[in-house]
Amino acid sequence: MSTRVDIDASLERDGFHLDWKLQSDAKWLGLFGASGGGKTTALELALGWLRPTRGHVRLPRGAVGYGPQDLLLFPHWTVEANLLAPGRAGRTPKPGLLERVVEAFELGPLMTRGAGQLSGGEGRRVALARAILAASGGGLLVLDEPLSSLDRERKRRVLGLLIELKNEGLCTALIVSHSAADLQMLCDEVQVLETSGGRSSFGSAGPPVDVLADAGGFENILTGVLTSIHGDSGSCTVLTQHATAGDSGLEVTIPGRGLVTGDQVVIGLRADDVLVTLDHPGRVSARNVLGGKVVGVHPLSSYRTLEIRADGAASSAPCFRTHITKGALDDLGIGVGTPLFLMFKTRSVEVLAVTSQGAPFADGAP
Amino acid sequence: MGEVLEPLLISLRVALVATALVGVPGIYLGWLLSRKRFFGRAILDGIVQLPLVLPAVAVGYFLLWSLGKAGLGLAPSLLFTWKGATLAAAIMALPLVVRMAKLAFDGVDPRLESMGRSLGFSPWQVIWRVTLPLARRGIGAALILGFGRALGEFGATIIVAGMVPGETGTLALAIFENIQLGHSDQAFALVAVASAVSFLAVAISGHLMGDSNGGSRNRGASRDRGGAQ
Repeated sequence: MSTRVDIDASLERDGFHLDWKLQSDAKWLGLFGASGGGKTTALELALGWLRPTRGHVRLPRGAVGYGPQDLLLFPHWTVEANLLAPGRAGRTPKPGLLERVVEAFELGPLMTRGAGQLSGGEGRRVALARAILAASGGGLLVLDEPLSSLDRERKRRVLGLLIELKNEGLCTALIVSHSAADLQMLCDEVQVLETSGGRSSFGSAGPPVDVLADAGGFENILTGVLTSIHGDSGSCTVLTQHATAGDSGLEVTIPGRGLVTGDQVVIGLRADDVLVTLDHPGRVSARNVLGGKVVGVHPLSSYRTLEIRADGAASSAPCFRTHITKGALDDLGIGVGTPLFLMFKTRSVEVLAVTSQGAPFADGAP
Repeated sequence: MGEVLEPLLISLRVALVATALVGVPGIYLGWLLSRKRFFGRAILDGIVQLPLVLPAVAVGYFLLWSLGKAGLGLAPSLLFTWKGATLAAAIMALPLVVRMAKLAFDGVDPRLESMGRSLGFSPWQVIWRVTLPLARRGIGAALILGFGRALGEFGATIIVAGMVPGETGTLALAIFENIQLGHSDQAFALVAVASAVSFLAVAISGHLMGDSNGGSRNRGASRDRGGAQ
């Protein structure tokens, strides 16, 4: 059986040893681990910049867009020439994508600047944009910590664009990050790098929610459209997607800072921030109280993970996940089918990615 | 005045043509030694560097033997002509051009070249669009220093080309002859001209090398390769 990605390789260098085995059909792959563990080395093995000491690295051949940590912009060219570099090599990016990338990454004012004269954050955005343009014709996008050194609002927009690229099927990707949440949003499969005593190896690849459960990611990731902004609280309401005909979706109140109505957002919510009650809590400070029903109970070390389907959510929508202790589970007599209420604060919700539909990303929310 | 102008013009012609001759091969050899690992690399490096340490007279004698009928007889007609003087100057200038060009290429981050290839550039496009433009100042300095070396060449030239007034009488040879003949005023004037031209060449080369630090600022970025192993 042959898979899209077939890697079985080792690299030995300067007392550093990396073992990498990966067979996967996933289109967007993530590599997770602490920095300094050899993730960059793995990426450059995948790119063919480094040769494995042993074994093979097989990836689909074609255009590659690499956004490395050291940027590698051509310093003797302008920003614009750097962005058009893939085109000069005969790889014309998808029509209209250049404009979208320039707008999303706010590169307009930088276009005529020399690439050697950019600040760290500016250079990172240009390097990312170039990688995206190079890979956009069905190529492979290789990103090394793409979101580090970006401020929060820029990070949301960059993530939003990456999610759009993925949804539009413009490229496949191999992404290194030390942020579990970023990989959860972007990747179909994630591999975790483990390091001990100068030897690094990757664990087995799996869905990000499972693989990154203990890595500080979000157990709940929802996508939605911003329907309204409540002026008084600086919060806003998201109508979650997955709503089908006759199905209204869910209304969730989230922090509204920097958002405008109509924005598509990806929001994250940690399982530990979701409380459950059997009775309606009545008047409570948490803005989000949703009725639901338990559809799954899974053991997770000393905890149990509850999967809860919110009332009104489409059957295709992801369930809410929360953690409770075994004691709480027994005291409340919760099992599959138990009706209950979910409760979480607006401030527990983190807006992870924004794809604004042409709306400027101004800090316009009251 | 003519006694000064003529040697100056001959010297400039010899040095310019010699620089033109060694320019492309010198830059190519510098690139080869900087970028490629191949069998016999150390031997090639040694042969290229030899004229740097060998007495110039020895190089001249080797050339005389190679060209003249008494030896290999490769091109006897070049002996005692300005072309012969140019060849001698070129061979003496080559090691300097190669060494300086190698330094210029060493200063270009090879990862930028890898990036060029990943973006779809052919190996030639990488050289023309990435490597050469980034090394251009160092290469310029290499050529100017090579020119300066050719301008001052004496030992090999006098063996291969002799002192034929109006043909091979370069500045260096003319200075030597005037000292021999006791014409110290003319010798002094020639020395002054030679010093001025050489100083100019060294100053331009130094300017290019100094500024090339600015061109390699991009290398600073590779220092913060956080997780890179």
